Amino acid sequence: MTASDPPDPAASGRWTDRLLAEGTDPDPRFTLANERTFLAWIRTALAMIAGGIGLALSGQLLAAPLRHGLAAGFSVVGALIAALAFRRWLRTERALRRAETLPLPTLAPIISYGLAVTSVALVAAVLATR
Amino acid sequence: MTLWDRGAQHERTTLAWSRTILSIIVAGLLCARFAPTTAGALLAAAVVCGAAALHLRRARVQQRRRGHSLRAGEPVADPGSVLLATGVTLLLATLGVVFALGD
Repeated sequence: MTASDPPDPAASGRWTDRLLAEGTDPDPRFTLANERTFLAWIRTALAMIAGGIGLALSGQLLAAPLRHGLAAGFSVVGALIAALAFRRWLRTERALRRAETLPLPTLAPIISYGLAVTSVALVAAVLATR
Repeated sequence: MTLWDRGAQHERTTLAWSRTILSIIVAGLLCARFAPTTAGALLAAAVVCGAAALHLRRARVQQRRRGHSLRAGEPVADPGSVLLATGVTLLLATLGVVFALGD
């Protein structure tokens, strides 16, 4: 905040500014760290989506129903991760501006358990249809 | 130019943006090349264009910000870029579903 009467972002300004209207600007380093965390989640989502697309275009790598289901499933999970990454970025940024406690990382353990279970199930499915 | 942050946060964030956007562009290009239908190829082209636009936007933010905003204590959050990145990723996921079910 500068001394020269900053414009109220809630009243004027673009719609993106209204997303972060409350509170005061936090230490830029925290905002940048939040941004990098968001980008890391986006790359996680990209990895899932790339797996789905690769599987969809893989030809006869897996039997047809398993291939279609898995490819669609990976893509949908990737989309979910991307959407939740945005939600988390916004919630964290708002918490930073209000100097509140940061939201808990609920997505990370779900992803870990989900990936572990899915990989075991996949190995079983691949061996069964081999 | 004084060093505002010894942790090189700004540089690390810029690099994180670069590699994320580059991944999206590569994924989009591969999809455009291997899409089974014309509609899929066009959707992939839209992903590449969106990612390229995001890259341009980030370059503009960097240029405007170079050593200025960060020291002056101005806001550095960029909701537009974050939203655009989410949108392009969702579009790529849609492409994955289209490929999976249309194949």
